[in-house]
Amino acid sequence: MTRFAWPSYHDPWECIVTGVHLDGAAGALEIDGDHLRVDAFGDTWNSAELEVEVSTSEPQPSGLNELRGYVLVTCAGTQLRRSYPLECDDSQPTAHFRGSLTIPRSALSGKAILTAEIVGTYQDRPRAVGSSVPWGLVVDKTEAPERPGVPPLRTVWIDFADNDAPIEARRHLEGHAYVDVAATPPVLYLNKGIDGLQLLILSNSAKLERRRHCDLLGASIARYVANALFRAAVEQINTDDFGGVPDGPTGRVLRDICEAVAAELPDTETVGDLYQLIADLPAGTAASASFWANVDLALDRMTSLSPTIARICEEVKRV
Amino acid sequence: MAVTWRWEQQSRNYANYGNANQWTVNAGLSSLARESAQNSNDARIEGPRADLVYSFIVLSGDARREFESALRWESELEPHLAAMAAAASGAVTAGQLQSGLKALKSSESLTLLRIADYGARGLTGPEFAEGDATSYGNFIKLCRLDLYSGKDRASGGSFGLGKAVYWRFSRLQTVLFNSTLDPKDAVNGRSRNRLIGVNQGVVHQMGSTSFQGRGFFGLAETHGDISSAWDHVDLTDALRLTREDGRPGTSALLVGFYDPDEPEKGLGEISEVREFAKSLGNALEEEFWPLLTRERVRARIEVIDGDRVIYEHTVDPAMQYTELTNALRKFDAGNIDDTLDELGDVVVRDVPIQISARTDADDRHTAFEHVAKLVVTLSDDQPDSLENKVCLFRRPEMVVQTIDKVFEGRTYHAFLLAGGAIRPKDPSIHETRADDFLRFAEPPAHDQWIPRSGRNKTSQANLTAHYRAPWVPNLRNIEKAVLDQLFGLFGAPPVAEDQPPKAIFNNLGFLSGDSGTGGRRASAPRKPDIRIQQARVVDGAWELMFDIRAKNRAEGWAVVPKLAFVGLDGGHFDVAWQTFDVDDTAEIDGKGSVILRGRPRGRILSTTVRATSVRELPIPASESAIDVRIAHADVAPAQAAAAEDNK
Repeated sequence: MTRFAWPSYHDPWECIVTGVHLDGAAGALEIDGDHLRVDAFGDTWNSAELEVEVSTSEPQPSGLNELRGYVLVTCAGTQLRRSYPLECDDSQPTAHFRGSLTIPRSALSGKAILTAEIVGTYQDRPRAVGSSVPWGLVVDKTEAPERPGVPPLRTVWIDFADNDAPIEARRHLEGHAYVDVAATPPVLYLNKGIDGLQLLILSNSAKLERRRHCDLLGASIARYVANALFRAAVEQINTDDFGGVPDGPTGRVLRDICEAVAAELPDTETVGDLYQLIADLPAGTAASASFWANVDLALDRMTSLSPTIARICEEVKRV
Repeated sequence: MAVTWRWEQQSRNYANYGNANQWTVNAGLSSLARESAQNSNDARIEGPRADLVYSFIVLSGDARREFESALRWESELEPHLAAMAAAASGAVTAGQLQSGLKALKSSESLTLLRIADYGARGLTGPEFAEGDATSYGNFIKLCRLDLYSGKDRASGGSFGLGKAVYWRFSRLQTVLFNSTLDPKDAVNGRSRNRLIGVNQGVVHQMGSTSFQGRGFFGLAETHGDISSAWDHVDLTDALRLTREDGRPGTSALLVGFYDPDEPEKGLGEISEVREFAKSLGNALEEEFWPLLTRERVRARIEVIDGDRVIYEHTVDPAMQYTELTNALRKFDAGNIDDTLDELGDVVVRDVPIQISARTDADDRHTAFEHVAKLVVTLSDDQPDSLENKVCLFRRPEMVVQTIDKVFEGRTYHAFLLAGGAIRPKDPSIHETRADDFLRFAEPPAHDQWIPRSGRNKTSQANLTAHYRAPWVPNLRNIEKAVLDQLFGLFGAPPVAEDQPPKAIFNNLGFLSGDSGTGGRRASAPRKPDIRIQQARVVDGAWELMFDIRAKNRAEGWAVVPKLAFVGLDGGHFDVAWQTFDVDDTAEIDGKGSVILRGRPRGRILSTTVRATSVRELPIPASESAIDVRIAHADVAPAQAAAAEDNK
């Protein structure tokens, strides 16, 4: 949490989207208060009007005057950065703002972020003094997280010798898995031509030796998937020619893998750090080799491959 | 003529320190059940149901003395056994006799086991092994010959070793037989109470005379031979060999019965003998449930204390192996189901077995495929020892071996009928030939068709003499074919291809937008986090107190916290620390990393940092917004390395 040199709120403000109107009419958009997200991809619309309430239970820090609330809408896809003023509700015992903001569809793509920003006056100078946890406004379905239980990428079982199999899979008839990272979202192909693979992988109650094989193979394929996705994500990271922040990959799954890797690597606190690190990575150097070695180990751990191998090795000592 | 014991004089050319055959028979009551019941079953006359009666007889006091008197114990048998025991240092069998004699002398009681079959062929044929071997009857095969089977097709044995089971379970290596023959098999007009005793001891010396190990109890002939004693009813009664009815068959009496695996038992405690009886009953049920279910043989076990029957039990596998007996009855009745949907359903699957070409001159045939029948039924909720196993058996209807296979979530009972077991009343020529092939595949213990490997390998060389190799693949494929059929029934259910593979996606939880969590089961370490407790500007510099908290792990943490000026766009600019101190829960290495060592206990490692920024800042501190970020989070360096860095 950012700390200011002047009096400010220590805790995030609460921001609630209370209603949505599409093209002037109350729409059927889903407001997901649990995940702070509005799904706006179900209908065709030109403009959306969002009703917002922003509040805090924290007492106003001494020395601050003239509190004002805004909702800042940013969208990386359209480089939008626009603020919407809110009205103060003086009837509440603690600071409370409400208001509505109208956003044209044409100003958005993918996913926009809504954040409440609180400004006050301290010693006659306007200062940023608080903010809320951000909300997401998703206008492209591919940017919406899948519902719980829905896998992040599609799985297709096909005999790699089949004419309908991707050409890359057909080149390696004995391969067991292939990830098409060019598809949106990516597709995991599993080779139905390997006798027993499907039975083993889909055996959710395997025991003893089958369970061990299933766990190991599952983790191994997961590791392969993660590797393929991360490699594809890295290829999409663009350096800003004017010294700005590098752009991350498009597509939710590729960004998710980057966020997960960033959380694992020792030198990246945020996914932005990871993008910057990759953008700055000198090719063919010891630093580059070290980075990729760390990525390999992180992917092993993230996909449970390392702990699965350790567990099975321990178990089979007594077999 | 009097009935007597006689051991022939030992020649100088050869000495036998015991009959090696009996060592091919395992100890334990399960082995006794298998071998003895198989012997009787092989001798069974097709037709009315036969009876097999096991009688454990415990004699003490006068009853024991009367028995020993009839056996000529003191005057004839014991002196020879004592002489044999004297050779104990050089022979296993002699050692057995020595300990057996010692045990019986120290015990008040003597335990006998009588195994009597009714409805069997009995000890047929002439007295002595002379002339054409094809004329030998069961008497010679049992009492006079070793390693000779001469059994018919589709019988249980093929080695002639199974009879050794009787001597194996006698402390004194001494067994008496009394047999009744069918009148058409009468020997010199006699068919009732053919009595003979055989001691399979070791060469021994009494006085200046050396004797052979094999001794016989019967009528002494003029040239010193011992022949059967017929119709000595009083003697057979005294020897507890009375036949219950007039049906043909044989009673074998094991003198000084014991289980070689538990020699200390059965020496007086009647409860131990009762346990023998129960164990034998359980073994018979497990090994011979097909034979008993098809009611070709009825088995009864009793314990007799003196003259009083104190335990009697008719062996009934339906009590213990209900699913198997029901399934076999349904199979025999042709009452078969298509699918296994509920308890009681029975399905049948074909299991092809390749039978090798037979090379015997009198029974030559080409290779062919025999179709055995795999019968499977679901198990009820009463567990038993044959659950999740496939019992393999052929014409004798004794379980030869089991194929053990556990399936997830399904409990089943199953058996494979091969050869003459499929249609025992009217087997085809192919079924009979297949039965023979499998019979010859069995090792002496008759407990295996499917070859094992490594240390568990048992010779199945008996096939070599009769069949054209290779036959090992044919036998190995039996197991594979059975498992294939079982897999079709109980293997993984048909897969739904739209079902996401949990085995994979459980490890890709981080792709669901829940950043930084790693796989669901992964031990992904969460990075340390910073909690700012105080932050204020003093004299143009930032003065902070913050906590570093991290998950406790053995490898510890090396954390580099950086003070960052935060821009409105979320970007940051790092500034240097002027002072930086941690409390005594952590250390600082020479590179400015805060080292948090892993601890044996506790979930969290934490330390509090007090630090100030430099005063030379890109913008005045009073105009800035700051945060503390983790610039680097790694494993803690080894203690020695950290000490080196601090120098």
